[in-house]
Amino acid sequence: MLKIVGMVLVLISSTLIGYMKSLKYTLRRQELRSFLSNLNLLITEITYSQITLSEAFNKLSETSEPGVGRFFLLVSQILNSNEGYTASEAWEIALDKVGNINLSQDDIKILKSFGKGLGNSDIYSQEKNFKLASELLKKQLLDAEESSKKNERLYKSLGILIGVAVVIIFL
Amino acid sequence: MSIDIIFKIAAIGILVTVLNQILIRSGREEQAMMVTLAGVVVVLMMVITMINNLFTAVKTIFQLY
Repeated sequence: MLKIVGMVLVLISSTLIGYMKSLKYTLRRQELRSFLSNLNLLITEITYSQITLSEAFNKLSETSEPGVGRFFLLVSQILNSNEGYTASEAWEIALDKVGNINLSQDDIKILKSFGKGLGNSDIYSQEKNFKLASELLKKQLLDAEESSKKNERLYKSLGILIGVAVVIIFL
Repeated sequence: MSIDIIFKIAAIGILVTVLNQILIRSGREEQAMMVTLAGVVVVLMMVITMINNLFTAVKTIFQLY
């Protein structure tokens, strides 16, 4: 009896570990895509509506998906906190502070270098900065799609199979 | 000694085959190789005492000391 319970526990936990591993790839892809579309929205807000950055971030945080929305909300909160942070400083602080984001180091680096140019030049230069960032992010998205196609199913089946292997070996 | 160990070894064999296929399919030949090797080692650990018993039995039957 106790043996069966142990077997089931090992199986369930290893399956869950596999699922969590594969979920990371899915989430990274989703977050990158969300960042890309939100950057496009943001440049529209800047060039067309010409609202302030904190308002624009607040607007974006309402429409984007939870993980990325939390980040934008954080940026707008930092900008609204009246502590004298510039937009690029707020962007960088928010990137460091927002936990639970599934982007890779390279993605974060691209976003940080984008943030350095955020809000310190005229509209045309801003547009160039946005274009560069979205090109780089597109490349990262392609990379993420490739690696998720390669690894997602692998980790799912690997979790289950390793669980079964452990159960059989210790039987 | 019981018949169970045969089923156990068969199950490990099936598992290692499936794992091997999955890893090769996703382009990880090295890991696939390592998994196969690990499977061989695990099975060998299981049967090594039995092989030892067999050899000693053969030795005692034919009185080769």
